[in-house]
Amino acid sequence: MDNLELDVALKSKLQYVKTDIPPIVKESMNKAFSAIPKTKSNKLKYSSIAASAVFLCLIVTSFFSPSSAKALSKIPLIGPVFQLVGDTGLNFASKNNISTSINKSKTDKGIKITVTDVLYDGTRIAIGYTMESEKGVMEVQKSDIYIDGKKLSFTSSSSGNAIGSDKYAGIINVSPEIKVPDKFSIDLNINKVGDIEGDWDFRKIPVKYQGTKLNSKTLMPMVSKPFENGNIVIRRTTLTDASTEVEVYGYNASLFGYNLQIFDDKNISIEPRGSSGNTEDGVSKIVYKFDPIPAGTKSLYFKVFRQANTPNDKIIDVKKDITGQYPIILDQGDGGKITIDNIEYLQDKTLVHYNYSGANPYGSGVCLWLEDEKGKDIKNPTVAIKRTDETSYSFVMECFPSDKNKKLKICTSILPGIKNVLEFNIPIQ
Amino acid sequence: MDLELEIRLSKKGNKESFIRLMQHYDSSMYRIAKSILQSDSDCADAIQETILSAFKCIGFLKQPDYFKTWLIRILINQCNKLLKQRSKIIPMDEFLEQQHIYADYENVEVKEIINSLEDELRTIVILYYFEDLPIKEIASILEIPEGTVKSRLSRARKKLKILVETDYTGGTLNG
Repeated sequence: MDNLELDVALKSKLQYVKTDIPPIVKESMNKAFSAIPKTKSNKLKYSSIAASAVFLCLIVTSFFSPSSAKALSKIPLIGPVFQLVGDTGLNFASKNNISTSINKSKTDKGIKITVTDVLYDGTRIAIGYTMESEKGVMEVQKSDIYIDGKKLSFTSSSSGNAIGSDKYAGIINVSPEIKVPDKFSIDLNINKVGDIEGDWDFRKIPVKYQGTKLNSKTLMPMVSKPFENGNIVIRRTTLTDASTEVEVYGYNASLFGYNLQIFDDKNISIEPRGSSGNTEDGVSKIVYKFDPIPAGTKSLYFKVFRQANTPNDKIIDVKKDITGQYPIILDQGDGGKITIDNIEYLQDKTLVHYNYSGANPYGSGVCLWLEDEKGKDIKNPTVAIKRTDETSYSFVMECFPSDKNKKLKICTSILPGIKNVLEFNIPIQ
Repeated sequence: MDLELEIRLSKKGNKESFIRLMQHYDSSMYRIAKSILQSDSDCADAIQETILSAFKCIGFLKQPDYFKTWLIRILINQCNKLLKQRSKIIPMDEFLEQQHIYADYENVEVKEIINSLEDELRTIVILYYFEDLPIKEIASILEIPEGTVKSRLSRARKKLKILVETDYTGGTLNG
């Protein structure tokens, strides 16, 4: 038998050998499927939490490290969920009593879920909840949401943080794809938490439009630029104390695969909070959501960009020893530069304070982790990296407690830059 | 399954099509991941990252004909990244697990043979014999010269031929 005959025989045998995929791999694939944006069969719909592939990877990594939750310290739940784990807008709404307190609980399979707060500000519906279980910290994996009995086809995002070894506080942000009245009710049916299927059914959560209590301004810039074989038009920008929303239309042009950055007049990028959209008959509409813009902003600068990487790129990590000498500078190549200003070793956590300089603060700027002497990532995956200053890209990253005498490494990766494809300047009148 | 259609729809962001594609290639992804990584848990992580990365980047895929190669390349990059992270320390329980690390093939004989291959041969064997990729694409995915792929295949054949020899005769053919 020569090589050719042997290869033919081997291929014909081996290609029909069945491979059993273990449950852990199947489960992991299903989690990935549920984490990617949803679409409808006849309409293209999608939503995204992440500003970039890098950020996406970080979020996904954070979902599935249950063992790390065990190391969390016990911290009592103090204050409303919107203030504990909400973005800038939800914090504002909660502090100013604009959100509605709910406090309804359901328990199934030993897991107690409490819907705590709800807010509808005209651009989003945010539902705050807590989850308590002796089985450890888990996140909502699957839920159905109905507005006045009508099922929504997708929720825009969910986020949250562990607030103890057995508690989790989270927020489900809903982007209603249907026009909603000023007063309505929501049915929230949570079907799966972590790996546990169950039934946590909340009926008739009352919601009312709270936008009148917020300072709100709507701009209709209607600025257009040629893109691909058509045009991209920024049609509407809604600015409130709780959020910023931008409606972008593509006529024979699609922004799928691209992202939008908004800069205030101090050239600081506003933190993105996801996007959702649909494409129909050659017209695509994407609604991008951001944190509220700083008070007094006179104009906004919009940049449509995409990450300059390809999947073929090799990922090269950059790691530096922590010796107690600061600053520590981590060069990400085209991705930017991270400067570690200080590391705080507290009893219940380790805080890494750092600055980012570069074009992608919520992508490359949050690609950072801390490794212990065994090379294990000790970043707390249930606590998002937070920006700490409105006028710069200063961040704080929370990690598990560590001894400052241990040999730790601070790590990032060489990352691609971003490529701007369109730019718009929108004055705020 | 109309792969071309599903790839085209996936490129437009259709989640359902993309999931069908991933399910079509799930065994391939697991076999390849398992040929590089030690634990099923790491395979699960690598495949998960691959799925998300592929969905994010599929819009940039220029030639749908190369979808499978493209997907495998992403997967192998993810596996290598994980491997690098794990390379510093191998706990004893994982070391023991390495004695039985390979994919759960239905055919015990195949499992034993794949088990016996050296690390540098295993992925090439999976890509060439199981996934039916041409040598040129394997060289490109693994970033090694075509000659190296050929020489490793030649070494692997010596161990693999028993699989087909026993089929023909119930014993062994001359060699």
